[in-house]
Amino acid sequence: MNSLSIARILLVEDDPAMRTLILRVLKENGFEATGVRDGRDMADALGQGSYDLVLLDVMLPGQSGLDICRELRRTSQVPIIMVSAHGEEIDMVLGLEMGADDYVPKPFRAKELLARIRALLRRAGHNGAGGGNGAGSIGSAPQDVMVFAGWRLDRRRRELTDPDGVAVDLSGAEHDLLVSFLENRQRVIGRERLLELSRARLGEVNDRSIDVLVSRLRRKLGDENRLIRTVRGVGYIFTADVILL
Amino acid sequence: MTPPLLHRWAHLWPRSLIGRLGVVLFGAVLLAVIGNAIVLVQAEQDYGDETQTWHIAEQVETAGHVLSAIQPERRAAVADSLSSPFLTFTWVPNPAERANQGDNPASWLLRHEMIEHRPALAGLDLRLRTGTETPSKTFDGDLRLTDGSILRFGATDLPAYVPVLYAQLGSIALLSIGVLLMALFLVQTLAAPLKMLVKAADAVGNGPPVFIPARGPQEIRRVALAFNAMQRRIDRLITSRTEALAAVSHDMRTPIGRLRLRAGFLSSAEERAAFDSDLDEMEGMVNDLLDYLGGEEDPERPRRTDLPALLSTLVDNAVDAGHAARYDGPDRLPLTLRPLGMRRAFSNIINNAITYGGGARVTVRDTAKAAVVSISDDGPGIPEAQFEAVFEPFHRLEESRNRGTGGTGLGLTIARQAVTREGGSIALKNRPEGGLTVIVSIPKQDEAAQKPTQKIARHTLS
Repeated sequence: MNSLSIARILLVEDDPAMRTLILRVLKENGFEATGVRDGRDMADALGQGSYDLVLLDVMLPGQSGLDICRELRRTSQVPIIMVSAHGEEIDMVLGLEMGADDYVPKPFRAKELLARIRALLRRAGHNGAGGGNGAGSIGSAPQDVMVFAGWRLDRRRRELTDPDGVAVDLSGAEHDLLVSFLENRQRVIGRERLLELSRARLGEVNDRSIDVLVSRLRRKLGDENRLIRTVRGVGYIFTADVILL
Repeated sequence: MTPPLLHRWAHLWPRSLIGRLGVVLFGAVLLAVIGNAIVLVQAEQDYGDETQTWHIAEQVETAGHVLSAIQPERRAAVADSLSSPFLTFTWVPNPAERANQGDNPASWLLRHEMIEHRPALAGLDLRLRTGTETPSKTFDGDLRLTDGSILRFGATDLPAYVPVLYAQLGSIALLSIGVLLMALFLVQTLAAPLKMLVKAADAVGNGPPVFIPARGPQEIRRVALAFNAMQRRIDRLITSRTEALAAVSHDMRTPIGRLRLRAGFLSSAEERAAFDSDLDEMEGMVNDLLDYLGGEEDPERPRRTDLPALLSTLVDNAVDAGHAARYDGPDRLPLTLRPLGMRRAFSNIINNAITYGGGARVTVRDTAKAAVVSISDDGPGIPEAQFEAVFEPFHRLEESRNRGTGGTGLGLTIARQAVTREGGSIALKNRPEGGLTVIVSIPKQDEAAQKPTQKIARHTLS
């Protein structure tokens, strides 16, 4: 996919009012969107045309969104975002294990949904077009566990554990910042670049808040490791080696 | 109803069922022993007196026959030798000196009793004279022998019969005490199901229903069955209400979700913000309700979690949202807990501090047995009388804190649910310099059990 072309999104949502609303949000924000009500209609739509992303509701009549996701993943590498009314982390984990690439809990704001869609499309486009360096590939088997200096980041579960196996809570922004560091490890990253990389999730970030964010992340990683070093006047560098599992 | 006369003794009346039954049993046994003794001693006395009379009748008859059969010149000596300390015999040759039969009832009664036992005495013209008392212990009398001479006999102060029962009083007392103890033991077993019932009744409303086994006497068995049935009904009622409330809360999310999106189409940014804030509030209520209702059977598993990281995220989020919040404490403190539940708990407490107290200062103290988290604000505090009430579901401190902030009154309830699940405690304190401090203590008790696996984990990962 070319990132300049208009992305086509397939929405699977059984509630007609919700479907209409989401389609309207997507269209008003420059996407080409088609809505279907269940798994069968989705299969038909996928047979007739190609899509850049599938937005899949978990609660569907008949076959559940989780089952649809698993089946779709077997035959296709299309990026999938799961949408659920449960709002429970357990569903998120389940959805991600079924092969979804991201998860949006209902009820969500239009802004939040759009940010997730854009972020995923960027990830998919980046890897698809440029071949990438293997980080965060879309639609493949879970390759999203990153290990560094004994630490372990599970990107699907959004879970960070320290060398002792202790879970260390991260905010969404901190998680995204850490992923940016891990994907650009041992390279100096400027503040502007970090800003750009983390913007998908951070609504209104500026230079100053990047510094705050980095200091918060450092504190959680334990400063004595000196994993994230400041490069005076330029930005930051992530020093440790990263292994992908 | 206690009669007025008994009022001054009322404090002696035991409170417990066993005590009361004990007193009743003791009274009953005592009455039975006394009553029996009276009746039995009387019967034995009567029997003893009668045998004494029969004995005398036999001796008198025998003496009569013996004297009739021997020569008159030997009769005086033989009569004398037949005498005993209780009964004396004298031979009187001259019938003219004979006295009449005594005319009082006691004399007639004694004569009747003797003749009844030895009818031959009637033919010997028995005459008796006694005092007025019965049984007669002092009397004299005479018989006419075949040749017309008289045999006189007399008794003075015959020994009173001592009932055998008196000698057995010790054994009787011992037996009564044994019976009493046995009865009390049986009463105890009767009361045991009652105690179980009390325990079960105490537990109602503090968790799942407590069913008690239907044991013991029929009445108590029936009470137990009725109690269990009542518990089932209550449980069903609560469950159906809870499910209905949860279902409605859950379904509310769909229209809230639509409204969220619709709000995005509003042209006025001001309107959009107002919509969003209302929707935030609605969503918060729905989430609170679902957290509270689902709180009892939270499926989350405990895991090793860094407490400062969890608290810092909450504090940082509050700072990002423009609130005054600060964290002071160790950078690292691993604990075994349910991270989602505890995040919800601390989030509720910190939000309260921000909403009602203008900001939140979070501190962590690492003690030997627990991690102690204090969340302080600079608000008006809470009247101490309300300290327990604020943890009650749907309780809100309207009078002091009403700022139109909404909320469901479930925040602290959910927090306490979550903290209790970790075996911890939550307490409130008004600081002397003003402001409220919420103190959450999370025990470290299973730390030791966790350590061996930690070591292995470290080896494989580093």
